[in-house]
Amino acid sequence: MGALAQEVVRPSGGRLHLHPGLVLGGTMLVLLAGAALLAPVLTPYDPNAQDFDLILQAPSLAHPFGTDNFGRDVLTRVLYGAAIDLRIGILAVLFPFVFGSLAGAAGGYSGGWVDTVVMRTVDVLTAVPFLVLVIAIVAFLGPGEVNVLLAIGGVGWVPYARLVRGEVLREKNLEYVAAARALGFRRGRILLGHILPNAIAPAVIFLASDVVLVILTAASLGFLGLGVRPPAPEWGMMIAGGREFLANGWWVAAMPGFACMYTGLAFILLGDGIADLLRVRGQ
Amino acid sequence: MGSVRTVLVFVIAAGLAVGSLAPAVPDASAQQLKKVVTFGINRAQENLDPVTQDANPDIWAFMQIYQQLVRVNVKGDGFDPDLAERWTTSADGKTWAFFLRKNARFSNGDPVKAGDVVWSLKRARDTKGPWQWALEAVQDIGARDDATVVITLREPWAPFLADVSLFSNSILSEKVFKDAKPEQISNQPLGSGPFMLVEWRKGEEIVMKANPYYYEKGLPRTPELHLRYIPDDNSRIIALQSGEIDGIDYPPFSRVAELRRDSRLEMQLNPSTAVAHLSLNVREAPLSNVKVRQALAYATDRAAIVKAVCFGYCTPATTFLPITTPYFNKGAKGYAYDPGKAQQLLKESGVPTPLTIKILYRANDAVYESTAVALKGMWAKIGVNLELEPLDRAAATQRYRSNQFQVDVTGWTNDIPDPSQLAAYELGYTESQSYHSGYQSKEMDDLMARGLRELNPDKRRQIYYQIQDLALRDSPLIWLYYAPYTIAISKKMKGLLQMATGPWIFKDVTVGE
Repeated sequence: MGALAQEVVRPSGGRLHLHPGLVLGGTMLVLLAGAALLAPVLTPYDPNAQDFDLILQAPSLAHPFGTDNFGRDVLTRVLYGAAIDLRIGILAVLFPFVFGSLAGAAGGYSGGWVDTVVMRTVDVLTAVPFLVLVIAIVAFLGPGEVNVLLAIGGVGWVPYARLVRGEVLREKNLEYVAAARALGFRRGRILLGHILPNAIAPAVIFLASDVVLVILTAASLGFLGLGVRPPAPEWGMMIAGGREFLANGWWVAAMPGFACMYTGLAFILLGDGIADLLRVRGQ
Repeated sequence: MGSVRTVLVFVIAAGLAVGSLAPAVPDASAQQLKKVVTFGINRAQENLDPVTQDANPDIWAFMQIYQQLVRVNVKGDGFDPDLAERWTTSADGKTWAFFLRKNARFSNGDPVKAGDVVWSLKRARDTKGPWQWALEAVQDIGARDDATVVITLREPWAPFLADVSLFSNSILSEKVFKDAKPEQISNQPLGSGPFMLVEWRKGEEIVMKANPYYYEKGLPRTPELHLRYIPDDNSRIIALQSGEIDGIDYPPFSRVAELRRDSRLEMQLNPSTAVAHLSLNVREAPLSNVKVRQALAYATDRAAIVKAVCFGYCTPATTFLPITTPYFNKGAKGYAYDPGKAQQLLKESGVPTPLTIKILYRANDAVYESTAVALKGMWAKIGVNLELEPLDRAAATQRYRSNQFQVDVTGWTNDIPDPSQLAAYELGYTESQSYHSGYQSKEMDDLMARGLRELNPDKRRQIYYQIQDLALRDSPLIWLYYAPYTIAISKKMKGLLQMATGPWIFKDVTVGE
């Protein structure tokens, strides 16, 4: 996508044009976050209120996304679920981003045994597929939102460490670092104040797509019965529960599925936009 | 030349006519039938030893291979002769004589003799396993001659014939299995029933062929029966709809309406003995308080659970006994849904609200999870906060067997057409700590002991009515609903029967091409 994207965001007249993906992705996310926050105002229903006279009703004006097998309003559950899935998505990438970037930077800048420890740990964690390791950890800790966050956080920092270490290895031999050293700055200041701001771009770009991956992981865990506990309206769990009714109530699984897709698209567009922005700035 | 050509044409035409007629002849006399009947099942077999296994898929499979002395009739309310063509009982009810049919043979050709019966029943009584209770009243088992088995009891035992019909009392060949290792008995069953095992690819498929020595002439009607394990409901249904297999067990209730509309299929809802219930751990507060338990029973909207979980195909439970079991009390009202009364009982119990209670169930089980979710909504209305604890199968079993639970979602199916087995399991402490609830009652124990020994059916009925009332009053379990068995088969399949106790009967089955 590089050439095409660069053409689109070519600076003109000295001012930076915003990447359309950034605008679209950002708008989609703001809408989603707004819907999640305003869910109690936007819908008259309780996400867990059961009405056994309204089981598996097809989408209608009263229930635009239909109802599930407990007569719960699916739209309400999708909206409330947005808060859960966004919360997991964002919280579960924050720790890996900060820790992974710092570990990678420390390893890349110091070299020697620090680098060996960081990179061998990375190797070990990379050897096992991401989802398998997360499932194993959650199975050990038990289902629940906090354990899902812990499991994803414990495994998810690896790509950040790799990305940042590679960048730091390149940056640390550049002249501005030599200059900083010559001025007598301490290592911490050089690393955090000078190298990291220049080395962090790939990690930030990865962050946007990682949120999507994490939401999908949380949804997969929910689907496997290892995620958030029922009856919380988590999207993955809603899809798993609705799978039974694909033949006579497709909306129960499809609507939260669309919500997952929408969120994924929003973050991917946003990530593309940030990537182009940073690349232009780099030029 | 002209005449030669005419003759040739005639010969060819005649040949074609004969050729097209020839295969049509057997078609006209008998409908073409499939040589192999394939049935898709949702759980795989693990152990086919009648004595040591304890799972329905195992039982239903080896019941095609083994016979017992007597068998439960299809309706589930009486007994038909099986290996024993008749039986007598002494005036005091303590001595039973079973007269074996002369033409019964194992699938290796050996005749079934009294010695095989004696060896099999002694093994069933003395081998450690979950079914030993079925012969607990037996004092001695002996052979009067090759065709007569005599069983003496310690005391008169009302459900004895039902107990003898139990699958664990299947008749094995003494010659084949006397010195066999347990693995051989569980992996290579050999009996006198309509089918014999030819191949078992574990976790995949069981292949059975007709037992050529089976005593009922002309049966089984199909030469080969395959039980194929397809755990995913959707895949099993698709395999049936595509014609890859001829029938399936346990299509989920959510698909029943759709399968009924499929003109190529027959959707059966068969009477069963399945009862879904909650076990309450009465060892600890607050569930040790009977008023709390009664409050929960009143707060449970069974009709709504039937709608949400069974799509209306189940019946709300009124007592602990399934409707199909003898001495089921049709007049019992059970607990009506009454949140007001529930709230009042909870107040009387003195337990402070809001009250948090945890409910344990097997994760990924759609029925159990739906039940727990529905209950959470219902019980919230009386100030009970129900916390859901989904655990994987092994962990959930370990937790409830070690009594570390408050409420457990579970269920039951009868194995004999008599109320005594279920009563002992759910309301008796010695058997299973009253289905792990920990409930113990002298009044109940006395009634159950009388129920086992009372031979007069009318008096026995009164005893079991009292037991049903007492069970409802004490509510160590909350009975939710009676579920039918679901089976979907191709319309080309004829003759399949399913007993109320569960096992299928395949011996009369045919499938048209």
